[in-house]
Amino acid sequence: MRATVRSIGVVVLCVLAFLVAAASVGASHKYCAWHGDDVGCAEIGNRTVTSCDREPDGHMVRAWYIDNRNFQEHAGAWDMNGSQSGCDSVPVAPSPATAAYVRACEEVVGCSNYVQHRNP
Amino acid sequence: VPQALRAPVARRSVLAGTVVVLVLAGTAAAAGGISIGSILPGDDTPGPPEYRQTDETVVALGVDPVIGRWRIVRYRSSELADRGEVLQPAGLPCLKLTLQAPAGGPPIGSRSWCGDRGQGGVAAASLPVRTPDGRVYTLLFGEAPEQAAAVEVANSDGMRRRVRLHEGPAMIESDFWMDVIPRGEPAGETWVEWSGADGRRPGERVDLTLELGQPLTPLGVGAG
Repeated sequence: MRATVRSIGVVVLCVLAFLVAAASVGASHKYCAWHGDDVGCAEIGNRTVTSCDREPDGHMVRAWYIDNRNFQEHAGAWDMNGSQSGCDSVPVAPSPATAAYVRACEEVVGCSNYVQHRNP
Repeated sequence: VPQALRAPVARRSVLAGTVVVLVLAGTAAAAGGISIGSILPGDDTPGPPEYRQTDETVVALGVDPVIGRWRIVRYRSSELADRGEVLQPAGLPCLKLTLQAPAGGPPIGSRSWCGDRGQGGVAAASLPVRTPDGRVYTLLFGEAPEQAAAVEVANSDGMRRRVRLHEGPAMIESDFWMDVIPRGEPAGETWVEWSGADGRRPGERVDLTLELGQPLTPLGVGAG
């Protein structure tokens, strides 16, 4: 009986540990910087940077990021279809670095502040 | 056809057919067994550019002397949301250019987009690369309507560069294209447009001025 309770306890602990780990992975999976409604995100384990133009104002949008390896600034892709649905993406360079900071910039108008990735 | 000529003609046809089959087989072998229409299954292993959230369909591929093996794939977007807002819905059509490592290793770089481009079916994006000798090239790629007979990169100085069209898989009603040009060419106001078999240009174009004028950081290629 005691062994059964102990086994159930171990299983419950394992499930809890898995849920916490999954939540952590989810939390670190993506983060974004906003400039008005335009957005730049680091996603897919922060290994891809995505630019989303969401303002129908004719100003092109691109994300910028700083890699976690050399801490250099890199330009992301322009969102080539403007404010229509859909975004443009590039992998973070140099591979296999991740994006430590990301910001969203709007042509002519300006940029958001850099948002730093925080480990959960 | 005289009887004496029939056998050689038949033999030549068989020979030509064999050559075509061998060339196709060679192309498939060079691409690691992947050919037009191949489905690359999605997985959940993070680590772009090999990462695939969903299945990808190969729509064009080739080997270029500057960048090596490349391929263009079509896939459907996964949802991207933040602050409770959907930034990109799931299910949009996406296109990705991937550069393949020479020895079958993981891909060395990519550029992708999702969503309808809204310029009558013509779409374009760029990916700059730097070769080991320091030369920088711009890869231009995209898609064009099925009825396109030609795609041209043009600029306001009168330059026109015709790019090669790749016929996509039968189930996808688009053609695809990729071109490698030296950095800085073309300059100024630049665009991509397509023309039909009669040479007429419908006037649907993608403006590349900003894309080429303020490009991405070049990606190193060709090492090893």
